[in-house]
Amino acid sequence: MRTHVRWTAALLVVATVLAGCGDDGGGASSDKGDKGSSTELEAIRVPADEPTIQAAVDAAEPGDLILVAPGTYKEAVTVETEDLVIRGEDRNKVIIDGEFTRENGIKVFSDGVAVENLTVRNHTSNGVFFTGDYGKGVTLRGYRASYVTAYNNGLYGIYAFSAEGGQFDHNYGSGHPDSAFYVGQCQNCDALLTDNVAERNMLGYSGTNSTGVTIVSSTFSHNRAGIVPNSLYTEEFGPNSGTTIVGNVVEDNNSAEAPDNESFTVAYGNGIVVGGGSKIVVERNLVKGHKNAGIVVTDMPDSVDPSDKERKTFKPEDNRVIGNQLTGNTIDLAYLTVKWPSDTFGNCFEDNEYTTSFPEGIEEKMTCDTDPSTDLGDLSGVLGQLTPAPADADWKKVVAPPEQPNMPNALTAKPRKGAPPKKIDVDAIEIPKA
Amino acid sequence: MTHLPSRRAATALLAVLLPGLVLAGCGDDSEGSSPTTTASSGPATTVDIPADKVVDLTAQSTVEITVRDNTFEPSYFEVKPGTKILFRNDGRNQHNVTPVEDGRFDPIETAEFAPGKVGAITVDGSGDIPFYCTIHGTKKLNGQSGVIRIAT
Repeated sequence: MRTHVRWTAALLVVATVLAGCGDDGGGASSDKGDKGSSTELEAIRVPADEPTIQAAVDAAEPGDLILVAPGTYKEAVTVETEDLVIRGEDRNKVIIDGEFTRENGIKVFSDGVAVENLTVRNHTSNGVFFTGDYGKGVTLRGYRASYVTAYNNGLYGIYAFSAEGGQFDHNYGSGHPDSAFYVGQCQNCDALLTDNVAERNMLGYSGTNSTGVTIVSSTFSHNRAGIVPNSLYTEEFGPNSGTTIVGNVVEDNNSAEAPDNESFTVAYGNGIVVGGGSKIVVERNLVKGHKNAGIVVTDMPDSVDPSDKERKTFKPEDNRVIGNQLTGNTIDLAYLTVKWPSDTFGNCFEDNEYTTSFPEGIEEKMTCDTDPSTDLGDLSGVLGQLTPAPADADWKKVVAPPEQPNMPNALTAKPRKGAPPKKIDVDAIEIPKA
Repeated sequence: MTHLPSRRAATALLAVLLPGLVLAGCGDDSEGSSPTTTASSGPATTVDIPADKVVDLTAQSTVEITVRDNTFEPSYFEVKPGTKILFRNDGRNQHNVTPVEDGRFDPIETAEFAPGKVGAITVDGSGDIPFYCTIHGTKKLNGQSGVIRIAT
């Protein structure tokens, strides 16, 4: 344990003894959250022990808990020590503010780090960022962001890259011109996103070349597009070869108040876009109110292949759209290839509750037993029917979110480092209630 | 993909000290190991990099380094003094190219290095020049970072 924490604990013990036996609850530990004393936890406290979050990180040993008191912290935090937990005492009152000047709120380069129960806002790039480095063969292993509010950061809210074994849960993201949540460039991502809310972003979720991500029980609404797993040549490990999207509410992603991003402008007005991915599963989601499509499988967007400098797309292949409930979308279910032939490529749509599709009769033409070489004919007609994206909105001016729920027992819960997520029973997740 | 030793060992292997100091790697990932430093004469910085990781580009008078999301390709390379180095942003995101030690070269700033842009630096002197992207890397050479080695 840290020396300064020992002294702090010792002094508190002495103070308690000198005060005599207090009345009920005096100094007693509690599992009932905010009313409990924070003296139970071994932690480096900010600002009581260290003046800044960075100073606390620099002083920390692997496995330490850094507990941050309410306040606005105008600093950029870099973490290069393993297994740290950085926790705010109050999610809505512990704020790391980039003042539209600093690049990242918290950037993490070490394994096993968890960030929880705080707000990151106004950074020119990212709110919270976990990363390895492909160029040097480094994959970050073990990460977690929980009960984090990220808003109005210039690229991503919460971002994991070249990282495996992580979890985003109970987070909120808004006002990002790329996405609220992003997991990219991992072949065995082993990442779980659950109970998150994304609104007023370009994309609620984006995942480029990330195989092995599970997105469940979350809400994506009032973005420009909801959930967009995709494949691009600008990152390694393409294509995205397996994302599981189950039990989410995806609604009204047509927002003119959300910022735009030219790489994904084409995704505007869609709920779930499988963009050049393979083996992606989209099941039992509630998808409604989109000006273009509720769920679309496509080969777009395109990107430049560095090997020959040509703009290309990845073939959408063996993706499954099954058992979703769709209503109020201009086109509920859609399949569209722009650069690839109009074969079915093993993509299938079955048992969805829907009304409209492109091509018409999509569930008859694209069953999971249909020959993958079946040619659907000219699919280009739908492009002329699409509602174009509205003008860009300034991400810095997107309305701030309301207060978000705190994590349980922030002052007393034992720290839990970032680690691969526990297995969940995806099959047991039902369609959310309308 | 090989996972390097723990971050502490990686830092010990790759950390850069002030010019004039040589950092020797500690070799293993045991907790609590600290780098060995030896003062040496002259201003050259040396970074401990496995020899097979350094790409030999000394045959070229102008070198092109690809910047993707979020890495430099190659990360470690050797050039002759006076070589012009072009960094091309082939990624979708913003990046920059910043020397770890101030003054080793003029940084390629984020505002001038949008996707598709090319930035140029010319390097001289001797020793190693560690660099990084301030958005996606650190001065300790974690994340998006690299080393330019000036050939003797």
